[in-house]
Amino acid sequence: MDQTDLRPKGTPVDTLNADGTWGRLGSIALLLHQAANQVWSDADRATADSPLHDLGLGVYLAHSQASALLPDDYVLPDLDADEELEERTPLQLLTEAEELTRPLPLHRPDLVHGSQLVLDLCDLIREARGLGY
Amino acid sequence: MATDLRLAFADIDEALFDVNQIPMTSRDVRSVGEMLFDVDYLARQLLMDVDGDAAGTLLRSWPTMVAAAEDLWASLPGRRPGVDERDRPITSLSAQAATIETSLSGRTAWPGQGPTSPRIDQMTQTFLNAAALVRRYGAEIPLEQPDAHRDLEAARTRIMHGLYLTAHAVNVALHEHGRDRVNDARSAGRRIHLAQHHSPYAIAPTGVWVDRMSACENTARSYLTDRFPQALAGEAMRPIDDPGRLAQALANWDIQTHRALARNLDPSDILLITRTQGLIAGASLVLVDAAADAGVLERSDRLVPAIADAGRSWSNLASRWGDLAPPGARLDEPLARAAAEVRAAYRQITHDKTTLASPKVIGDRPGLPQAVRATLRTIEAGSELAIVIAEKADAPDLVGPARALSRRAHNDVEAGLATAPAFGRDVVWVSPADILTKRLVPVPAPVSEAMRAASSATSAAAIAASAVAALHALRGGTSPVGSGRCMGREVREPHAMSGTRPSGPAR
Repeated sequence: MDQTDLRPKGTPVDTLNADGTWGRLGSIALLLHQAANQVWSDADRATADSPLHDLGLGVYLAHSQASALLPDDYVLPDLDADEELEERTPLQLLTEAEELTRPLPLHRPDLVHGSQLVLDLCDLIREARGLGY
Repeated sequence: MATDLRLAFADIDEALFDVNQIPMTSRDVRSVGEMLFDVDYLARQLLMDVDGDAAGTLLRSWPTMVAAAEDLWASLPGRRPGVDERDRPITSLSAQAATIETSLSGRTAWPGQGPTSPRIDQMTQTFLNAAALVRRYGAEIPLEQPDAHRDLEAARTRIMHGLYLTAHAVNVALHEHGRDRVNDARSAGRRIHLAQHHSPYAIAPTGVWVDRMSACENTARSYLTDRFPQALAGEAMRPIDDPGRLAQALANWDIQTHRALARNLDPSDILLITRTQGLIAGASLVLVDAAADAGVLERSDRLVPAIADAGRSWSNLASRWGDLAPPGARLDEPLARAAAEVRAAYRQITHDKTTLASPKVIGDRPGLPQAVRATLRTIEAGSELAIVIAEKADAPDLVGPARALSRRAHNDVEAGLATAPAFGRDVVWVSPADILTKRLVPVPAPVSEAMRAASSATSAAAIAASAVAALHALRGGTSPVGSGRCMGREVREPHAMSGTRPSGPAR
């Protein structure tokens, strides 16, 4: 079998620490919100029947899935999109969101729909690549 | 931006699977926790990269992967004697995969004998290695400790999560394989045998494999969403290839939008509604075009421009509501589910892989006549929806993020969409302090004015599209299913409705 990448991979954190989990999910929500806006912005410059409208809606729905995993009283740190995010492509934003889901403790009852979010993100990344992003 | 929180796989080890607690071996130095994260990683990569060419190899690899996963599951300590409810999903999945393996063995028809998928093989081997490790050291696990229980549950979830993603990837590959074969046959002028299965892609014999892999995917998903008891009780998921799916999705969308709009909706929900209406308009254009090509719908000079105009108006209005929808907003759940189903149902007909299919391909898909009728009905109903949404723009308490609204206010004034301040006056629509502190602020006057104008324009465009769509329906623009007639002239039977096409050459 292939060799596993055993290189050190960042600073270990306690994933069961709620703050870490919610912070990651909050970041995912921000990234997906920005990605949806960017895809829709592209779609609005294209024709009414552009498949980008469909991709934008898919990303926005994924954003709402991530947001729904957050506690009711959780407040995202930034209300405006970070300017840094605006420089990234929708595919980069989606990929980053997917990477952020990797350490999520999906077995926790409050993250019961986390697997669905992961699956949808992988589908969206494949679709975004197919649309030339 | 908080993306620094990103971690790679295997950065986290649960107590049970900590590398420091399980002796290293020279063969595979990963802990069980790391192995399960690696399976997750490989399954994700598989799903992101999958295409129709891999369908056969993935299908052949699937039963072995499930068997290895079951082996690992069985090796986990703390199993209760007798039948354990907790184990039923993996037992079901294993049985489903075993029957797939039986069907595959000795088979000469597609997918036949051949190579397996290196990625799935790697996941299989990882499960086997993990099982071997757990069997060697599992006895040392302090089962009485809560952390150990939590870790075992985490391991089961990770196993099922890997299987869920992989089953979905196999399904995606099977669908794309079917599409590829249909497209190849059509471009070569060959007829192709469709399965007794209402799917545009259910090419015999892939249709049955789609069904069987869907059953596996649903079993894994039901475990992960804690719905396995309901699944066992016979709660069925709607078949994804149902030709009436779009009509039902749009009917449900109509109900959910009205229910939602009867309440005081958040801008994020109105954004969802307006964007979905834009999608409906765009997809309707695609369906109308394909239906006209296929002779299912009378070609009209007015219908397409009217729907296109409505689509642009909905999108323009949506971009304005998007300014008011902050990230992290929770959507009305039934509304979001309905929108997701509308999107999925349209994709079933309009899409080829990740992009739009050609009108010729769509024209041959099952359910096109029903889909066209349903989509025109929704365009017709869009006028009323636009009027209700326009009322929401008049709400006096609308607020949004300061920076977005400041930018929008200046753009609207510059573009002449809102009344410009008196000559020479330099108006600051949103205070720099609010922008700096990223506060929610009331909608500035120019934005409000332009939003009301956009709402009126959307209403007008939706009313125009509705009128043309209604007129089209009254004139019998869509041919009754099976009538073979369209506006008094003979058209070919929409043969995609038939599951009995002549057989094409086996591939």
